[in-house]
Amino acid sequence: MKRKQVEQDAANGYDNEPSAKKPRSGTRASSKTVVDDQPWKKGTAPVNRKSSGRESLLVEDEPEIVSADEELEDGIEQGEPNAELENGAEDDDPEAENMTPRKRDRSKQNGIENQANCTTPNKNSLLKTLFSTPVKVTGTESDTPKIERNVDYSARRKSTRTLIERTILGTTSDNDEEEEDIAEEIYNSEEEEGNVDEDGLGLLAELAEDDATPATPSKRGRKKGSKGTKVRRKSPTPPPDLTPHEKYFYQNRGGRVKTSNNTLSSLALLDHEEYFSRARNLVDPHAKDIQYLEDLHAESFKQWHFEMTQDFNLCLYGWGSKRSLLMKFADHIYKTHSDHTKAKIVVVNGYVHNLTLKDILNTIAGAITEPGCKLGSQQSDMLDNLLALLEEDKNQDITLIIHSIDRIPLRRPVTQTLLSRLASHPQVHLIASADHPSFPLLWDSSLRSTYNFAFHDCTTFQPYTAEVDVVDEVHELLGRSGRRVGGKEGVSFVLKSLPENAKNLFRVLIGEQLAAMDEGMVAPEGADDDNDNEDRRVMVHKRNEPGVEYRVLYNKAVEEFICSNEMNFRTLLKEFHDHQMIVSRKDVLGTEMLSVPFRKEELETILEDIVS
Amino acid sequence: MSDNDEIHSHIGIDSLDHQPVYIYAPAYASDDVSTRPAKRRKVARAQTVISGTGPAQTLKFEPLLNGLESPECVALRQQTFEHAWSMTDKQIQSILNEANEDTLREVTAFINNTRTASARVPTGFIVTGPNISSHSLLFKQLSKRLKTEINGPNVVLRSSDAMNLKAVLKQLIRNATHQRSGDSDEERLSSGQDGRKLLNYDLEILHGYVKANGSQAAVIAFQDSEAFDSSLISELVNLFSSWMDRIPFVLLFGIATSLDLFHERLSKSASRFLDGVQFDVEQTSSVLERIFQKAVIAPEAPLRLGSALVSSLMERQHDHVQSVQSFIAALKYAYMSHFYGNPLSWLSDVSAYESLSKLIQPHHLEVIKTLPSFQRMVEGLVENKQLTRAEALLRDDKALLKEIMNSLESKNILIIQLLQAMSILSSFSSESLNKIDLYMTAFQGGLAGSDFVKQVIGSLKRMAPDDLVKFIEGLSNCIENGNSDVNLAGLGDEDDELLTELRKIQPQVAALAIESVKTGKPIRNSYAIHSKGLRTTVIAQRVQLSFENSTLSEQDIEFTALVDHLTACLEKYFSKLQNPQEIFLNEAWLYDWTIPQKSVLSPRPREAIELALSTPYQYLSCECCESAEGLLSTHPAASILFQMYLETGSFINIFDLWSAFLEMVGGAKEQKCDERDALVIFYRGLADLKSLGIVKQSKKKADHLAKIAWKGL
Repeated sequence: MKRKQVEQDAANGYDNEPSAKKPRSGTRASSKTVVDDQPWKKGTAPVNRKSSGRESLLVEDEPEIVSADEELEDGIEQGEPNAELENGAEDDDPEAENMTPRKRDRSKQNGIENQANCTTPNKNSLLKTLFSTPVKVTGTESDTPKIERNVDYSARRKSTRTLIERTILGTTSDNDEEEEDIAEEIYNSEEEEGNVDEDGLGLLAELAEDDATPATPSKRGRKKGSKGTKVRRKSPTPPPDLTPHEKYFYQNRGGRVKTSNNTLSSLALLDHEEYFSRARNLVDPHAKDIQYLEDLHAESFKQWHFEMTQDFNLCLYGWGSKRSLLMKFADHIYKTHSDHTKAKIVVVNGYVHNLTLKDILNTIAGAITEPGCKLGSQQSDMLDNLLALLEEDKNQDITLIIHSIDRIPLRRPVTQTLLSRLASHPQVHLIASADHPSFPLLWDSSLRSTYNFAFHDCTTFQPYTAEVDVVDEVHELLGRSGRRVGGKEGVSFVLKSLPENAKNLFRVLIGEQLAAMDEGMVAPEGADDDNDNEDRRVMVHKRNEPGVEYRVLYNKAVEEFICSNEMNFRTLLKEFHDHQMIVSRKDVLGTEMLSVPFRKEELETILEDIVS
Repeated sequence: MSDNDEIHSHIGIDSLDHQPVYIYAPAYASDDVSTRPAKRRKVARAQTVISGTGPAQTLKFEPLLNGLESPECVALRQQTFEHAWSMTDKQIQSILNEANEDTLREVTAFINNTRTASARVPTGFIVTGPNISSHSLLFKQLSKRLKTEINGPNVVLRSSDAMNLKAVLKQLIRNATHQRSGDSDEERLSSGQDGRKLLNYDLEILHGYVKANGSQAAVIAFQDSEAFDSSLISELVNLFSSWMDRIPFVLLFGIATSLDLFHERLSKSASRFLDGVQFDVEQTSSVLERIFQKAVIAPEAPLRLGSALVSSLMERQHDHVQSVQSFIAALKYAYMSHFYGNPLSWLSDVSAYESLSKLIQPHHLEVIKTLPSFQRMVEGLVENKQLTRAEALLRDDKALLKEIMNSLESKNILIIQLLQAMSILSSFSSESLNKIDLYMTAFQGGLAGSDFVKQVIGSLKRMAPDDLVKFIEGLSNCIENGNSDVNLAGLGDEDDELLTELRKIQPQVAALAIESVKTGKPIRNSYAIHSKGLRTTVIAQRVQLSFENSTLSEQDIEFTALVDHLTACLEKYFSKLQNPQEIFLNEAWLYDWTIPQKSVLSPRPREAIELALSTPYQYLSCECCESAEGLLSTHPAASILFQMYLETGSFINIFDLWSAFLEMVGGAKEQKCDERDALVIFYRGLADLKSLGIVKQSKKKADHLAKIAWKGL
């Protein structure tokens, strides 16, 4: 039925004419809808319909078994700092572990190899650059005092010790971080050695071991290697070709996930103005291809229209904004309508935040009758009345185009139920687009059969310019939602329109908050290098969310004669709330904390603005 | 939205992007010469549409064969489709109406007969089964029926309509009183007897209404009673029972689970007030089988469905508990696909045969020559050394045309033979067969050696002469006169081979049977004896098993021979049936594509999106990202971020993500792109990921994201 299918038919002998008209579209189509198309080769001998690629050829078939090689790679690839603590604990008593004969066997091998390849420290560093994060190969190892002090210890043993010390005693020194890095490095290189050995590559086998007897450390390395496989899996780089579920478990392994402590503080975030001015000038290198893709979809308009006339409703899904495609389609439908007084097209932007079902119903009613008609107050009533209105004249025909039917304004089950009832009416044709990957979950089987959707994959790759407010969304994701007001300029703008009292209150609030921030900043500076997550989190918490207690602020306000009673105070605050200029939250003890959601520098400039 | 009109009369289309709802009026900047305001243009356009694209309105089908298909053929294709579907649809609708007919009748009778004055509310429990999507149809039919047959208001309540007692009552009263009278009546009703205004959830209004209309029953139906809050239902029941002396309530509950479960949910006091009768509704599966019988198996079905398609339809039906309605939609879609996309589909209509030679275009013949079925036929001819014939078919269009006519005519007979074989199997099999399975086997061409045939032949071998006579009678009757159950007309004498054999065998068996009655000695065939003739002998404390095989009388031997002959005949009969998928030109009347069905009716959006983002080349087929797997700096931003996202752990540092992204896009050394521009792209990509719902802000650590979706899971 689809154009695509027709093309497919061609491969199967329905249509032998080489389609000279659009030679590219064939290949496009085949690559486009991956699930339902087989690659179409022009002029291939007709294949038996039964056997011709029923199943999608392109659905990835990931190998279930991770081969031994990959397993090894996995091992080699680690260069991961974190697993060490656990390891360290396990290896508390290294001597005992060394006793196992099998281990010794292997270690002998190692020893032989060691002797054979007698490598220079050079190689070691090469090894590190290969497998561990480059930053850490700073050649500091030799100048660390500890290593020199404990020459009789192997570097490994030492590193273990360091790690244990660090965990148990919690001792931290200035060069702790550095030391840990070295420890890890040594540790890792050990493991690498083990793996490489297994691989039979003697090349990388050697390590710079201070110890005269290489057997012991490599033995232990082996031990680690075999024992540590689970632990080592913490590497952020997964082995390739994992099946989806393996990947899931891989990425959700127990234990702490270690990520770097970088924050966005060094990055000046975009505000709306900068975003839009820059976005306007950006040229998408794919614009041509995207346009082509849309034209390709547009070729199915007739088919879609046919489906609509057969009482199917359409639902377009896939990546990319489908707005322009749908508007083109609306145009197509509009052209086929002969009577524009009876046949109307109503467009609903499902992503607009203040959209309600009432709007939709009212507009439809306005389209078929006089604008002023009353449908009623309750949604279900309105729908019933609307349907009755439609029945009055059977020639009336409503094409309802809903952009993003799965976005928040329309997500409520009641709305969906009523919409489906509206769409199931023979005089109403619904064309909807859906963006979310799991949009079918919106509808249960009953709703689904009321909607009677025919779905089409319309991946357009077009940016969601109208649907998504990029800057807001990202800032919400980054926890910087205070930028919603429109940045500090927005705040000053709001403040200008407020009475003097409000301005003063805001000034007090900012002043208090800045004071709180300063307090918070003093402490964490020193602890910044501290790696302990718990501590850090608390610090971050303090630093990120300094606030002013509600009571304190009120008292201040009264002292400064900004307001005389709490009612007054609340009214002022409400104004700020409405403009999203302040955030209130309850802290652990349940006291209400107020804060202005801006960073320190911005607060300072706002304060200057107000004062000046 | 009264301000809509103003807005798009003077502002460009862009401002409509954030307009919640508006009426579409095209801005024909490019197509239309005039840029006059919308209202004027409408008139102008309407005229051009009528004159210029008039045929497009009626002609919905696209010309195929690369647009070379003649308009007549296109129109014919469309006609054939409309005719075919309307026929099938009519049958399906009649089945649907019938299916609920019994229930409707019973329920109506029940409501008619309830005239209790006690405080107990007469209640009908309609056990509808778990298929909630068919409930709405049932209740729609029910309320339609009740409206005509019962004097009194009836209201269908859905759980989504109202969540609390007050809202339910409001809804109930409004629906009940609006049903018949206009607004003026309502005014009158809402003011009580003594002139005071009643609240709109006061049952007094309903009371007044019932009194005014002399209603015999006020029927309240709960369509999805399980979805209602159980305490709400209990409260309602209590309330209704207290009004029973004034309003003759009758309650109907649609129950998807079972009566017991529903009972458990009701409070004791509420269930004490109920006086219930249970009604059963025909279950979906049986309705489905009937529809299948009528629409797919029936001899007059205009389009045959291939076995692969049927099995995928059934799988969808079972796996996703789809309703009958969605099955019908799928069936309709199959029809639509066939006639819309296949240039040969009009050949499936019998009435097209006369005009065949006129309508058929050279392109059609070209297409036919590439059909697998054509090739199979020609190859068969070559194998049988009929080279001239094969050559004629390939070179001579007239010969081909003749062959087409022949095959279209003979196809009906072949199909009817197949259907007949199916009906024989289903009527003579000892167990009841699943018609759908049988159909799938038959249309795969696998009937000959199937278990269905084996079973019938097996039971035949075990028959006594009397039974066998009956069997043969039934069989020959079936072949001659067809099966009225499935609307299958007999083939008369056309299928004479089996029939003549049957007629020969029948008197012989009958004679044997009569003889056996005379002699009083039962006749058995060797198969039957085998199964019974196990003999145990105890010799020297050892049990010996031996077969009794010497006792076959002459009659027995004769009977055995007859049975053997009959089985051979039947086996031959079944093996003679052709596989429909091998008949020449089956592509014109047999539809067996599963792909459009699957992609259109059960989409996999997540897979599509993940695929688009992880391999954008599949869709864009641009030069820059050509054939490369994995990350590429030329990919769209969302795609790059998505692929990075796939590689991360469950916890993502945004700054690091940004650095990686900048590295990728900005290309650290070459400075392909300004950092701030890269940030803009990054923002866009991040917002996209958020709108996909796969990341959220993590509270654990500053500037971190939590990963919430895994590809392929």
